[in-house]
Amino acid sequence: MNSSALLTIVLMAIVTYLLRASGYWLVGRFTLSPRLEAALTYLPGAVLTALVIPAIIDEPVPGIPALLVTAIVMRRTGNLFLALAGGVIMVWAMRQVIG
Amino acid sequence: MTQSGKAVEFTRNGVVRGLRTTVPVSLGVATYGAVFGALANQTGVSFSENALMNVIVFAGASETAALDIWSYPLPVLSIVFTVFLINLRLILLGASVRPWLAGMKPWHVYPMLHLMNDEGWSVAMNMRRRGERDAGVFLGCNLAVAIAWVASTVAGHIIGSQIGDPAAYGLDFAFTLVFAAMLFGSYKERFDLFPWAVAGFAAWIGYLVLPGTWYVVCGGLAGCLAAARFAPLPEETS
Repeated sequence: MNSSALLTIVLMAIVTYLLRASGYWLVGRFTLSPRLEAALTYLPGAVLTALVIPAIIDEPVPGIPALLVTAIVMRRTGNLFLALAGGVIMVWAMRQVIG
Repeated sequence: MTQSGKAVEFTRNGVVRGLRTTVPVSLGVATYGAVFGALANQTGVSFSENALMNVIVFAGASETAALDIWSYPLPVLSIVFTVFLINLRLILLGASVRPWLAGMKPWHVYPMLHLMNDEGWSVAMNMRRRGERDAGVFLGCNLAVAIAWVASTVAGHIIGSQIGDPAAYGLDFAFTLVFAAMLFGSYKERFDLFPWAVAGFAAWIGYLVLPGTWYVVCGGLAGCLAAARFAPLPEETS
């Protein structure tokens, strides 16, 4: 096992466990304001959006059409695997066409 | 500490009920787990690193984000900070189960909290809303997802070694599309689009001007601050 990978994984684990435990621990000692709660609720969506951006900037075609397919399949079926498959097929198909 | 004496019920039967109720959700988690394992393999994460990560971190969305920016030399700080941001929401989950588990011994609750995950938590909380009181149910629901996740990610890693060049199948877009699917799956109301737009714009600028993968942090914080400022609050206080 690579030592920097091991270090990274252990740090990821420590941070994640502390977050899992801290909410439980904090209740009663500290109250979350509604604004702070809203911030925590919307944070994952904001991070996910940020993660999508570079691929779309670097390769808008087939990126944007694939994103649309994924969006539609996800909203229709709620199935992550199908949504992913739809988008990947779109990428593959457009590359066949454009070469 | 306000553990006012009242011991909470915790039975083996409750654990089994939780496990059983969470089977359908676990199957959904397992399909994503298989995809995760295959992507981990493609990214150059070894079999044992993948297994270790899924057992001790056990937080799929954040692990996928980590994989996305996983290239040697590893940007350790930026990976850990991204994981921190995505997992901050776990504070809310932990806080919400306190009333249920507060009667248990802390040395029983704290190890159990490691297994707490979005899917298991939401099944358990639904059961509680329908009158369930047994804390074993909370363990069962989360355990079902944990078993599905670890088994499927390990299996996915093995399958991943059978796939050749990912770009030939459009799989180089898999990360982006997984994030997009998770994002669209979380859509609830029109307001959601606002922090997404802010995050997207900030990430775009960040991607152009910031070094490494700090665009993730830039976009994430911008979107979350915008939401915190403008979100419709249940009871307006300020």
